[in-house]
Amino acid sequence: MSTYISKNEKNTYQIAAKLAKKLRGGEIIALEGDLGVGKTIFTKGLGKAFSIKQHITSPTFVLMKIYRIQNKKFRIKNLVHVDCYRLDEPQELFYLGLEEYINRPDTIVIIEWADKIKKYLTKFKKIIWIKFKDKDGQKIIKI
Amino acid sequence: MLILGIETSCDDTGVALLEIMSDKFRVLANLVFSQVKIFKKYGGVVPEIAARKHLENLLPLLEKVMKERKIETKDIDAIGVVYGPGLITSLIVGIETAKTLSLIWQKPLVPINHVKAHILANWIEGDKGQLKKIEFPAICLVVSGGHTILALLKNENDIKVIGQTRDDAVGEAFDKVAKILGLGYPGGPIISEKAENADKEFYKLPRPMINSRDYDFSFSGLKTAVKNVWEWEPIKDKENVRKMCAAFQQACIDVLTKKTILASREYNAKSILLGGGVSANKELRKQLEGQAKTEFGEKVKFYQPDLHMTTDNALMVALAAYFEVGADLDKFNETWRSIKVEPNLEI
Repeated sequence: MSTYISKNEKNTYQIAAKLAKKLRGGEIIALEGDLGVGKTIFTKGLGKAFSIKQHITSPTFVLMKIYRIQNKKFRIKNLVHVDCYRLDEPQELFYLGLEEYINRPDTIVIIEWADKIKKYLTKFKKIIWIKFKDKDGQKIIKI
Repeated sequence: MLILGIETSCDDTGVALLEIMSDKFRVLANLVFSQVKIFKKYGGVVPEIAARKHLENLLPLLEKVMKERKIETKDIDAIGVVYGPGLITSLIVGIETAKTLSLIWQKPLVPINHVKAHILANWIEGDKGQLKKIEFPAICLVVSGGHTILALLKNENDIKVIGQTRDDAVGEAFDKVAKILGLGYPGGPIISEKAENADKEFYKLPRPMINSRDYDFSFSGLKTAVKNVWEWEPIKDKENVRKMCAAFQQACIDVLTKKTILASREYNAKSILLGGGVSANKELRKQLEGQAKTEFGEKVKFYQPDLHMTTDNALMVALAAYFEVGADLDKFNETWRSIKVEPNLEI
């Protein structure tokens, strides 16, 4: 596990870009950490690393958003952004059709508030946990 | 023509019957079954339960509306239904019901964008009368739990997004701040109630992106600011909760009104419109109208939808269907074969 310290949004973007390079497709990126520690910013950074032009906005309301990766230089074609903030039952994600996207070699699934569905996620193999913490205004990111 | 509207994009099941004849309208029915009470205990919408409730309520609601109004299937000329954006599981119930009705009744089916319907809600006032004559170009601020959008309208069918939130929707920020302050769900009405007559200057909060040279918004940082300030507040009493609600609400309103006014100026708007659930917020209505007056005087007219038209309802869907159809109803005879839900639909 590596620990990164992010002083600002730009740092967080860089850390996300670094991770993006290592992704091969089919991974689940599980983010945990309190409100306002930079989970959405990290996701935006990942989106930018894959040249997604749309703004990546909070999926809290619809729970899941799917972004197409247009740039042909990437093997990965979809970024699926999930938010469990309002969720108590992992079953809900199943109903939304999340499992159609998990384990697909052309897809990355990134989940905010993943700690709320930890048990459910253990059944999947390629999972990367990232912990966010706030310390004196800096964000500590453990990957 | 008589249009049946169906709305199931989130947690409200709506059925409406709207009669329109050359700009004269009559609302025959506009029923909404709200699930908000069910979701209070969950602190938000649970998609699977919402879908199940839609399924339980939609057809009985439709039967009731038609029976009470003595409307038979032969009287209906078209069906309007929301196909996105929204919760996929909820949308499917409305769409599949509407498709089936369209096939069995042999009625044209008009797919409607939920956000457009919120904007077009401005054209109706009361239960009957003339459709409003809103002058173009118009700028509409759409604010709700899922959206924060500034749109430019050249006419009722030419709607373009010129700015939107880059992270959280404003209604979502209200919900999250309410949660931080321990106030429950939904956050909008509670916060605006607590904020009434409270000191909005006591807590200093940022105005994210207020000076950015575009029409985009950001509310995620504002929510974080509330959280940080609140964590350091030793006295978390009722009075301070009210002050925080007022400070937060004002921060949102400042950004929303400033950008709406700026956009209106740049695009020489003749009308400013409001739409979406958060547009029920009294302070927002008052301040936006006030600022529009100060800035443009009588040159720009300010419109806001009726209160019951701000939240999700099927009347706005039926109305949007009327505009969508225009003069060509036959175009929609076979749409039941092809329309699909689009949870991430954009304008």
